[in-house]
Amino acid sequence: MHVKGHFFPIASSNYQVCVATISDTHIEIINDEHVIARHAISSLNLSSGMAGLADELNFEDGSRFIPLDVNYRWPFKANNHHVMERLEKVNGQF
Amino acid sequence: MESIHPTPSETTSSINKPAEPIFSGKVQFSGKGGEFFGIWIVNILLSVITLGIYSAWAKVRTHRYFYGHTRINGHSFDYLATPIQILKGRILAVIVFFIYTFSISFMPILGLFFVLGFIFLMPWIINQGLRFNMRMTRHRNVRFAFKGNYGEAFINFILLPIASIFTLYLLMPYVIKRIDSYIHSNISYGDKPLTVNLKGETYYLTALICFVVSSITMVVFMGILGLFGLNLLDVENQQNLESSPAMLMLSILMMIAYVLMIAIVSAVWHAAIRNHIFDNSHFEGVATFKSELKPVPFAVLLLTNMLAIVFSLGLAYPWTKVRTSKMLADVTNVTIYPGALNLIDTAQEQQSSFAEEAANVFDIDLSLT
Repeated sequence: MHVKGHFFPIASSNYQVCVATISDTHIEIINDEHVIARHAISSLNLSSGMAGLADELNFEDGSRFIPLDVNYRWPFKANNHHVMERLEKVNGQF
Repeated sequence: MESIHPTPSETTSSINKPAEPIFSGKVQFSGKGGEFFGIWIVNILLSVITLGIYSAWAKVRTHRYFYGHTRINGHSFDYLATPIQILKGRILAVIVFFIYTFSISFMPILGLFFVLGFIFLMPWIINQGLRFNMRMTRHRNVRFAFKGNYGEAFINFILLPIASIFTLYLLMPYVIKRIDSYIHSNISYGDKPLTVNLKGETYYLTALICFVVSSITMVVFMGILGLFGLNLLDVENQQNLESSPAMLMLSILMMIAYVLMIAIVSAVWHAAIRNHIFDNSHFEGVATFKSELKPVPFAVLLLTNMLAIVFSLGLAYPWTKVRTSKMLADVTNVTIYPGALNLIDTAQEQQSSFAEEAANVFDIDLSLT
């Protein structure tokens, strides 16, 4: 699975447009066919999603990947990460 | 919106040339009233059910929503605080409050010491709150910081406001200008400090305009009362009117006039001062700002917000928050220069140092909002 987004190296504003490739255990950040970062999915710092906001990934070393599609949600996130977002979405429809 | 999107490699090659902006355009706010209503109502319900404990999580989610939906050149802001940090600040405040209440119930004289202690603690609390809020704000992977010191905060937030009382508040616009200068000139974005050049005369002129506007509003109001045949100075007549429909009408009119005056005056002040601060602040080689907030549309927005909240019994609050953010974003222009692509997040770099770790002991939210 490939997801396009912005990759920010640690402590820097100098981002690169990259593609994140997900396997069962790892996520690779690829720019121009070069792998610039590789992280185990189990090491990711996952936060709960919010309506209309990109579901960004914060890596252990402080670097980040932000999908360009704000509605994209990572498949490896457990359902409990989306509970609040779903609850808020349901209430927002009233 | 005008926008130019170079790749980072393009900008590094032009570093020695005179800086051409890489982006110039409005701040964008993409939040929606319906979306935020869902967040807000869940926050309220869970805060009630958990006896207020969830309010720390509620604050984080609200801030994350508004920061995340505010974008400059397609890049959103991030709110980094964790609910535990907020909760620690609130627990600390509750403990202090209980100690205060318990102490003065046994020894009322302790209340005086508490007030004195609080006056001397206030500058530290303000600095801590500003420091926390800046550190928890990030844009383009770079955090903001606040570097104010106790001495200056004590002068600006305690000494000068007390001194202004002895000048019949004539010193107050200057004091507010000093406070604004202190807050903004101590902000930095990554390794770039915010350069601010505020002028006292703008604050005095704005205060004068506010005084004139409030006086005119009161004169108009008195004129309307005159049309109704009511004389506020006629005490005997007022006593007779106390339970009459005319008195009820008078109370309603007074309330409307007061709300109208507050909305107009705060819109005039807020617009003029906001524009002045934005127009006179910049991050060297990184960004300049321009604010074009107009008092009349802003006053209309504030008034309609108040009416919507009152007539919806508070349910329109999320909608008013979103439309206010939309308007403020819409009147704010930012020009970004190549330096923005080469910023270093100094806060993140220093995070492993002992001093930073020690500072984190007090890295809790003390603003309680």
